[in-house]
Amino acid sequence: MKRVNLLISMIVLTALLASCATPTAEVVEKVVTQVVKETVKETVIVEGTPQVVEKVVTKIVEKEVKADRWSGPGFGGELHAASAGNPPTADAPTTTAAATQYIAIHVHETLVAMSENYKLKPMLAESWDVSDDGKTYTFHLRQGVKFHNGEEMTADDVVASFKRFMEVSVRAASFSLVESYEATDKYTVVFKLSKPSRAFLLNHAYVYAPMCIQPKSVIEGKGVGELQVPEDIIGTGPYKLVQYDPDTVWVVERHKDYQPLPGERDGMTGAKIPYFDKIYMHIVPDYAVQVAGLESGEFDLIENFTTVSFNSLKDNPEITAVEYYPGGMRVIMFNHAEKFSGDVKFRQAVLAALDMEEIGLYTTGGDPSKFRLNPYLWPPEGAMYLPDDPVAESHYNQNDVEKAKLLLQETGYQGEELVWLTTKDYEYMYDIAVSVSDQLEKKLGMNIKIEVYDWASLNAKWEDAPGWHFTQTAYSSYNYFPLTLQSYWACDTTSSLRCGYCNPEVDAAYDAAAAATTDEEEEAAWRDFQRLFWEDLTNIKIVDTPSLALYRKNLKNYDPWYRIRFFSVWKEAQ
Amino acid sequence: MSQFAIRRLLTFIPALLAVAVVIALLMDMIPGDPVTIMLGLDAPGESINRRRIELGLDRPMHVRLLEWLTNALRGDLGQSIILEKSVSQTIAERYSVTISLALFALAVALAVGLPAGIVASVKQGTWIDWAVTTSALLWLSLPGFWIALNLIFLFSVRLGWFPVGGFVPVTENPLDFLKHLVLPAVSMGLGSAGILARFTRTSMLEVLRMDYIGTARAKGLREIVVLLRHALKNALIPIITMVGISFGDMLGGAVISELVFNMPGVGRMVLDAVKRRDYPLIQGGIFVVTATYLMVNLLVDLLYAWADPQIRFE
Repeated sequence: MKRVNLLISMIVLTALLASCATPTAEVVEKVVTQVVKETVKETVIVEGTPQVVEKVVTKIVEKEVKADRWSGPGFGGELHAASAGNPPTADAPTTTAAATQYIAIHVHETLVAMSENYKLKPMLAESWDVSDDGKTYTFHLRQGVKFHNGEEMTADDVVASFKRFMEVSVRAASFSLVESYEATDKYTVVFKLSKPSRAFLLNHAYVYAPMCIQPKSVIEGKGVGELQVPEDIIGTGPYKLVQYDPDTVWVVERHKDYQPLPGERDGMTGAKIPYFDKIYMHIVPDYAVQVAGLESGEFDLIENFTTVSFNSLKDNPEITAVEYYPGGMRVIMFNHAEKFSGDVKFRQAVLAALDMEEIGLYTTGGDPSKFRLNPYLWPPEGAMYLPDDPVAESHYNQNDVEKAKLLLQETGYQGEELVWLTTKDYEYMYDIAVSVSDQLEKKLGMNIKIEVYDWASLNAKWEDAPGWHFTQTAYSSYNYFPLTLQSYWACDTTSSLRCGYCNPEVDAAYDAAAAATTDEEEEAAWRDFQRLFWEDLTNIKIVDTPSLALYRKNLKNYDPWYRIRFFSVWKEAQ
Repeated sequence: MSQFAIRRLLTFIPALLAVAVVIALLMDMIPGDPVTIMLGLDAPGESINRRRIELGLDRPMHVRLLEWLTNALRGDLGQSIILEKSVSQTIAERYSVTISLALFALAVALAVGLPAGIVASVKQGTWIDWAVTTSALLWLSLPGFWIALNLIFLFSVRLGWFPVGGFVPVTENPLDFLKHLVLPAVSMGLGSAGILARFTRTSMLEVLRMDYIGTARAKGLREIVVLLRHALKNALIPIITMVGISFGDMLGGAVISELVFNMPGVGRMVLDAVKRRDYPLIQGGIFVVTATYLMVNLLVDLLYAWADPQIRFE
């Protein structure tokens, strides 16, 4: 019997978990209706004689077939993005560089991760228990999670990852409270701390220099610079690093055995669906070229552009231009080890004199929609919004020249030369230097000399104690992870951002926030910190600025949130 | 000629040594180091200091320079601090990009500049001469990056004829290789075309006044033969010199095109290395570009003998 060629009409019955508009990776089986023609033999009577004849019969059958997990609407294709950020390494735990985080976000995962409303949620740990004394954390791992090399993630990998993290990571000190850690069975890891600390879980969730879980077989015994790239950059994330050409491009491709969590994408956790077959991040230093690439369609998304470009592309029908908070906080930094800038009265005088709105306008190309005046450290969209603070409200944006002059007199400043370090590598930094020093010169008669360096030289100058008084920067990570401020300004931190600052009261506020056992306790600690920030002025806050995003309109479900995230993002055909 | 070439090659050694010493001194004077770039701004000071010691950056510059020179004599240009791979390998991967770009740009310069200069010299005093000399002045006056950005805007964004940037190796796809080189080569080559046009015009005008040109015409030779076989060949010496200088400029100036067109060449590699204070890569990159420039000049000198058989190498 021959089976003729089949006519197949496919009717897909799909169980959708989320909204109908969202493609899903949950379809693993299809019910296929097939029209089948079969040739059968029949015995018929012809003129009284039984004869066997062949007859073609048409039947409709239904079959269940396994479909590719990563097929269906939205799946497939490539994403091409561009960024000026050049990752100094692909070994994520060894650096806090933002460009490396972009790789890590797609390739690696942590035990717990931050959700979009700043709660810690499971990622590779299915759940965790905390002992009554707050010093023992027991993580229960998800089972069946595969690394990019096919191995299953187990507790031994977590132990090996933590061991290596403590040896190579720039954030190793953040886990200094860990006294011991061990795998008690294949899927359970226990950490014991010397004292309770809410920061312990937060430190596991940090995206920069992440405590990511990597295979023991790959990382054991490997120090800094000893992992082969991309072969040894193995994680559990939705994408796998397959090409790494520094200065040019890095490429990730879909992790076929990825096990997404159920539900929707939620911050750095939830369902992280790898819709694209491959993602290319092109390193393009020139902002104008990035914009040209976006307009021509060569790039689906770009990271760097001027405010002017952003505004000019807002009305482009093929491009989506998005502003969102939280973004960053721009600040004036002081050299606390130098005369005058190390004196709180001097810093208070500077603060009293400044018109923050004028600075905001100057540094955003005159566009008032590109900044917000905000006396509180965090914007409403940030992790720790602390309104109704009379200290913050009375200190911020005073623009009171008489008060400033009186304060300055008390410092004994007589017009000595003050040095402002800045760079043109980041346009906004130079703009801050120019606009603030202009106000201080005009209002207070300060004698400020602006010195311009490239970024590497500026970093080096920040480390040197004498010879400068002012500089500037912007912070964004603290909006999502408040305790990052501790790594900048705590008395015992050796980060170059501290610039000689030390205030035990501020350190006590950090410690209280880290040790808090309830949300109320944590908020109280940060309110203390916010008050001290405005009274002691480690930095002066200028304005909040939004993050801006530019991407092609056919890129769907893209939502920047903290850093570039391309999981649960897909492209519609144009 | 071979003795001349060998003697010239020997002079490369002190030149390259001088370049290596100057680069080392300059890098020692610039603040900053690669470790802060690698580890990030908020990395603890202990991590930074530990990594500096691991990389040997705590040693004096003269010690590091001596070590580098010793290894360079053996062909080992060291290990890139940031990229964590061999400098020689890194340069080799990028060298073909820069050379392709420079050669293509030179071809544009020759294809545009030489004929323009010849035509201007033949049509001296006419509106054609004026148009060519004015255009040449315009090409060499306009900044290369400005030309590049405008070419991208017109031909990539508006017309979609060429890609915005990038590089495709010729072995991967010859057509894409060419498409990716057109705009950068034109932006780089136009300036040199302007210089070549003016040099060719001046050189040709001098030769066209010679008696033997009149004799050639009187003999009834076609004008094109007079121009190309008799006039141009004798006008070549200064033109060859200019071509050599232009090619050297293109090698050094390729960094602008590589940056704007996002091409992974040696120029951009050195620029990124300077930004990140990747000392071995800076040293190795400039070393190789200098050596290439010296070789090009040697080739130019050897070409003189071809152009003018009267030239003898002593």
